[in-house]
Amino acid sequence: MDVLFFFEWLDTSLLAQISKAYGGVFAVVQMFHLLSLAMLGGMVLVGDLRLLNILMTSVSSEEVIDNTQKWFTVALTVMIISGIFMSSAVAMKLYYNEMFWAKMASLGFGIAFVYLIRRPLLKYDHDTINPWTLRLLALASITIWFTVAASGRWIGFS
Amino acid sequence: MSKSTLEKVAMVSSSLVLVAAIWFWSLQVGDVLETLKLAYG
Amino acid sequence: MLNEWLLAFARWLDTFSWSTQLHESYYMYAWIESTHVLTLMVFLGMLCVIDLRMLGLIFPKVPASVIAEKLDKPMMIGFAVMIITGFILYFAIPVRSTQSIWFRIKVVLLIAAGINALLFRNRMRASTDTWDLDRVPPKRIRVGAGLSLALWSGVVVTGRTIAYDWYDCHKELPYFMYWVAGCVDEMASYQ
Repeated sequence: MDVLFFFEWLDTSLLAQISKAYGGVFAVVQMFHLLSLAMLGGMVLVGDLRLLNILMTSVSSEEVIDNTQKWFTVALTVMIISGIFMSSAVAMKLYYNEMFWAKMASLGFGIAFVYLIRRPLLKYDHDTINPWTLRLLALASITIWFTVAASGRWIGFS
Repeated sequence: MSKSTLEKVAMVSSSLVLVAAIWFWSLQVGDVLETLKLAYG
Repeated sequence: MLNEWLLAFARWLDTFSWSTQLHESYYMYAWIESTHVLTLMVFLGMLCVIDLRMLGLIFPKVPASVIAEKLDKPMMIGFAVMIITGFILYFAIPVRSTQSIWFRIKVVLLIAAGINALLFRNRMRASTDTWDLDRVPPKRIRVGAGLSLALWSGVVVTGRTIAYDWYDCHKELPYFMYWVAGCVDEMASYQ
């Protein structure tokens, strides 16, 4: 399914007109993208390192996951909104960028993974879940979000 | 989805993620090595 | 005088072959820079959780000292990586960085954030038996946490704007800006 038409539309949309015309606005939006990256990273790491029994082992893993979830969603939301804004400024360039698609694939999968698999499973008592499942879940989560971040940064270099 | 199904799905999807990541990053490393060979000989 | 000294130091660093090699490298600079940016997920991520606890916005049932203590090590590991990669990045492009107004502001904010963190740490150690278990810590702690988040956000923002050339020395700027940025040669030839 070719999404070129969507990128062509985005490239000339009102959003793009704003993001392309005002470099200052673009810069400010990018700051929010960066700052929420820090928050997202923190929530992912604290949660996953707890599942791997590396960090905060004196606190129950249910409590750690419960507390980091909300702020993860806040950070992800800000990143997606700011990401769409920034993408509109360079839509056509992104369409032809391999790293952008790698990022989108991992982001898409990451969102599905977190909200359709990880979160529902972790609602159950963690003692009743196979510890290897928890470890795999944590490793996969760290891997996905690292890949999203790294491929995202690499867009700028490619 | 029942808990045990969810657990199986989680195991399989997590494993797939890790395999995919190893594949993706190996490709990237390969590309880098190739480019460095071209650039520096 | 400080500007002249800083520029002389930067120009001296610039004479090292590694500096040029790094700057002109195919991938090395990009990797160091990417590591610097991505590690802020570790360093600032941990800091974010700690400061949010100090603001009473996360982990209400966990003692504040436990959060601060347990997340301290990964935070410091992240900080070490950031400092090392930061130094390497500065070393790769010393003159432009030294004459970057954003880099200068970033360093000032870093120092301020460091002082705030030290004061905060001392205050934390002194009062954990009084408010540690409170869902929302006392006002002075919340102010410290808010300040911490603001200062570090400033560090991130100014770090990003270093790349923009709005106030680079080669641009036509008012004399005051040349002085703030340390554009020594431009100040000397200002008309």
